[in-house]
Amino acid sequence: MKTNQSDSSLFNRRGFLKTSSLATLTSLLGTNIVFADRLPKHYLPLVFDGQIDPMATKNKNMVVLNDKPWNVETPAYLLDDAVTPADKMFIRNNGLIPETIDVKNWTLTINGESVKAPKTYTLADLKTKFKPYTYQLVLECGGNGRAGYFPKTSGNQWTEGGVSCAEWTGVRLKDILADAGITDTAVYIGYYGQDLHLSRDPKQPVISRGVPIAKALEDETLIAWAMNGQDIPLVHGYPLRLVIGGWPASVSGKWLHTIAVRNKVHDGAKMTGKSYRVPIHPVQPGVDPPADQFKIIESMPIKSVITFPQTGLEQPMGQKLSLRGHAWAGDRVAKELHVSIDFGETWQKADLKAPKNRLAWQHWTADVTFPTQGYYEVWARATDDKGVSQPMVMPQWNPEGYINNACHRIAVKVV
Amino acid sequence: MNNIPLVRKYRWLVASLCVWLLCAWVVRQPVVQQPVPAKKAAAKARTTTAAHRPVTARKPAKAKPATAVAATETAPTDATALNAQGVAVDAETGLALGDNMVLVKGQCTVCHSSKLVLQSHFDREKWIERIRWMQRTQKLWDLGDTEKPILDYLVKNYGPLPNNFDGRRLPLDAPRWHTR
Repeated sequence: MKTNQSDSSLFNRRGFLKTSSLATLTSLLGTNIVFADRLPKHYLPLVFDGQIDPMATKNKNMVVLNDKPWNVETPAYLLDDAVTPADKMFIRNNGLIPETIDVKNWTLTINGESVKAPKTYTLADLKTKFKPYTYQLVLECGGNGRAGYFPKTSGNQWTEGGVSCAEWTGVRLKDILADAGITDTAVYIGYYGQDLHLSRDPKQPVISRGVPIAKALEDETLIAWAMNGQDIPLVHGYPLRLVIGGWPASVSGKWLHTIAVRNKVHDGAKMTGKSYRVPIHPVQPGVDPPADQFKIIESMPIKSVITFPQTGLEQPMGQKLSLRGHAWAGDRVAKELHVSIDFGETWQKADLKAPKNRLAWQHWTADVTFPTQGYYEVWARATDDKGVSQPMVMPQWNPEGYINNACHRIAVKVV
Repeated sequence: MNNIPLVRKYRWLVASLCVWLLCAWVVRQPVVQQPVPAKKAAAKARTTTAAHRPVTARKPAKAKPATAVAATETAPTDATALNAQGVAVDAETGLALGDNMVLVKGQCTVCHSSKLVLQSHFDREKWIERIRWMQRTQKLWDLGDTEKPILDYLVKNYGPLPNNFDGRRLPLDAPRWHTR
């Protein structure tokens, strides 16, 4: 695996890996090379088929849905942190993680039909010539909740863990676009990243999505280089990525090298067909209309999760149970959160906090007591600022299994 | 004693006989035909070898159809296991054992992990639709004669789940009980 230096500077004069090269390799791998002192001269370690193992630095209870490409979700109880740490952030990939990252020469190019003149920035340009901003931003996979659809659809079978809210630092996309200059024909942006197609054909695009220009120009739309105050982990997009909160996380392109300002709806890989789209007219479960009958998903719908306790708690009769979790609502704000211990017959209001900033998730707490010993399901239901709530049942079925925002519930036994 | 002059006299016959016997022995060795395009795909079809295949080896759609693999053959060294549902599976990929599993392992785990298959439950029409989508957009090659046995396997082992579901929520799966 190559690092960010040319081959000759990885090794010292005697041909052994320099300490600095080893350190870089170790941080990218996320683990030690145990017999590093016995590596032969001029030898670069092979790592897992050219791919790093992203699980090396993840909590061991993360759930691997797929390992090629890597798709890993966070069980609800591991989402308990107010701000999602790197080791508990879900992983979503359409292709392979890039295997060579040339950080020294990394650039971001702004081009496209509606840019005044194409412009290229180095990482140093972005970090020094523009004001940096830090926001907590919800990234939720468009397919979060897909496992709850019947009949089953294709795609990763996320339950409720395809969501995170980390703290991202970077420059506002609107400031970069103002610097490069965009014309009034601008309609959409489209990103391009360095991920590698599963076929390893370097010319085959993996994913290139985007958002309407109005969303791109929001204050919170970031070109980010740091997550929780550190370099973004490789699997999450090092050294640069888009972070656009509240929309399907596939608009937040990783390993970002180009943004095109389009004079029409972006048509890159996974923007067209049925990818991240739902039928314009609601369908019966199992019915799959033609591709021209689909519309692009924009804001994610209202949703919530119970992060404490972990499902399966046994607790003594007479003791109150303190619950907590998060709620989020795409471009909107969660207004209320209710919990029920009787399958929705009665609901109790939780204490729901305001978000740290727009497009961050919101924390809630609630105490419940149980009338008698036995088995209970505790359900959580959030409502947004337009009065729209989460459904308790399976919501509108769609052929690709997107935006299932049905209530989360946990099992509790009172003994 | 008399043999020696006889052998000398008929040495060309003896030599021809030896060559013939050698050929007969070679022809009787079992030959396992490999699925196109990967080399040694049946034995080594796991994600870790993908890096070593030259990119130019695969061409979409125009490739010659894959040769039929001995359909029920399982490489003798493949380990088996039981999955969480008690179904016998290939230990390496988790794919259910059965006719044509090797075909699926060989053709389908070249690009992506078997976990993509394990997550799937489709009827035949939907499996065909997925294959066509991969061929159209993800550089999957023409499966040729292997397509039908592959579909048979997928529908049998990863077909639609029995669906008596009316849209309300199924009960939670029994959790691991804890007292934290």
